[in-house]
Amino acid sequence: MARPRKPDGELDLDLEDLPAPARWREWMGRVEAVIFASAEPVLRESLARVVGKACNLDLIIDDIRDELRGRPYELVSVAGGWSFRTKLGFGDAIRAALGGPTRTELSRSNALVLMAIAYFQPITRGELSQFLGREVSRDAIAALRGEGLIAAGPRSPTPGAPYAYVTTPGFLAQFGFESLRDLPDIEKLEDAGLLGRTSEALRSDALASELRGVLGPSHDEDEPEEDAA
Amino acid sequence: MLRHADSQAIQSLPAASPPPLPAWARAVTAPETDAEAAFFAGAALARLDAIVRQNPPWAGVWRQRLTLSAAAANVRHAGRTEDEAALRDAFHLSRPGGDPGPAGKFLLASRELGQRPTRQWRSSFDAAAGVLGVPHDEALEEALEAAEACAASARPAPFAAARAFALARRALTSSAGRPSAGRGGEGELLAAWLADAVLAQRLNWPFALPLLAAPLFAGGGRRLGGLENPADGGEATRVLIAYARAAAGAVDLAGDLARRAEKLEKAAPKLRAKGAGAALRALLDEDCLAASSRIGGQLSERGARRLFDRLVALGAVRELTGRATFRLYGL
Repeated sequence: MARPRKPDGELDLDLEDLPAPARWREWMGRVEAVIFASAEPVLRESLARVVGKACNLDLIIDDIRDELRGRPYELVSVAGGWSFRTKLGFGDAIRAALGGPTRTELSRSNALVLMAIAYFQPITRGELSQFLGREVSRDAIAALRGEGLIAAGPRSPTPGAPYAYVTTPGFLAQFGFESLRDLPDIEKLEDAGLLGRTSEALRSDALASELRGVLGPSHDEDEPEEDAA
Repeated sequence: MLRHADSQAIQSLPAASPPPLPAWARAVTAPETDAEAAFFAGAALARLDAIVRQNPPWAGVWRQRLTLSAAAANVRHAGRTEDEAALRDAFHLSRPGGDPGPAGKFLLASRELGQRPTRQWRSSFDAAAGVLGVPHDEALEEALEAAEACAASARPAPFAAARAFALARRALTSSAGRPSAGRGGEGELLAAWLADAVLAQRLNWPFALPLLAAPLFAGGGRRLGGLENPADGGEATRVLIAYARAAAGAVDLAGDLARRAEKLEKAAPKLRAKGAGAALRALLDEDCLAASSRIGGQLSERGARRLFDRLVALGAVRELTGRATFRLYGL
């Protein structure tokens, strides 16, 4: 049920004229509608603008999730916000009906570059090339930037002041991560003391081979699925 | 002797550096009980309180150095290996508003936390949580309210802060699935800062100092023990010991910076560069400066480089990176 606007044209947030259950339904409806209508994950601050102060957003989200049980799509929290996603099992059906994914799929080598950036950010193109053992082209970086998955971070204090690359919130949203902590096996790297020491790791052969050991051979089958679907 | 008008800018330094912390106020062995820890914490905080109230001209660089070491401790605690130099680089080599990378964000958040006056601690907190990507949800609100209650309580300041840390840490790190959850997560940084904010309110300091994080998280990564390992005493004792160490460290740092500021003051009359006064003031306000920082608008990049090199030659300023390029200069 859509509520009429207040006479002054502002959205009525607190809905004090409604009984509590109806108020809750209205808030749930608004939150769900906003998330549904948005192409990007909706942040908490945006949702707070459509519900009253007394409203607990986490409970609203829980209630919406309850209602969606059994539906082919779900409400997931990604990149610090919320978004609707179809459930994994329906991927094949969607692809069969609509053709391939509309976004260009990441090539295997670009996916590998992206993975290296995600784990070892901020990292420059030179360091990436050294780490992966092959030249990482400007085109590969440009492709990832074009997809909005990476961005230029701090400059590296080395000759030429190349940019070191970092992943974007869009990267988190794309892969369904809440934060970088959700990257698979990141704790192994923490335990090995390898995070944030890329350049030193590259300089020392022992550390570099340890790095590769932790991440597994780059062309292995068990590389995490990085399809941009 | 001809003096450039600008060089008068930092003549208002107090003649003497702050008195050092007496040896009896330093814990040689780890205190065993609450009372012992509280004695050391109280003694060191009293000395620290005098420095904060005096508001010396080098307070800016002092606070930023404390912020830097707090951020470095957090980065280590989060399982990363960046040190203070790497954090400085990430901060100074990022574009304003740009993403400095996962470790740099800790420094960015810590600076955010220390920028505003004590009474605006809530908005500092929101800004820092935003930088770290911690959503402003029920848990964060619970932590903020716990801190507010502790600041309003009648318990002695370090005990109120210890209580705030315990409550905020529980609220921010317990609920699974949050990005701040777990040990070494962003939640622990925010909890430590909330305790510092409570301390500053109870001591009536105009600004909060980031004290708790550095000694508390110095133990290492989230898997390497640290918070969970003390054989004796509870969480409160641990926080009191941390405050005793942090306050003693901050007093030592203040003494060191006062001596360096004095050297800078002595070097001031020897400078002829236009805009040298603004640069000297900036050196007292900032952890470090790059020649490209555009200080005061009067000094060109080349001029700034010459000025800094001259100051280094005079022994008044240090070059902090040890590099030949992308140099950073600070007290």
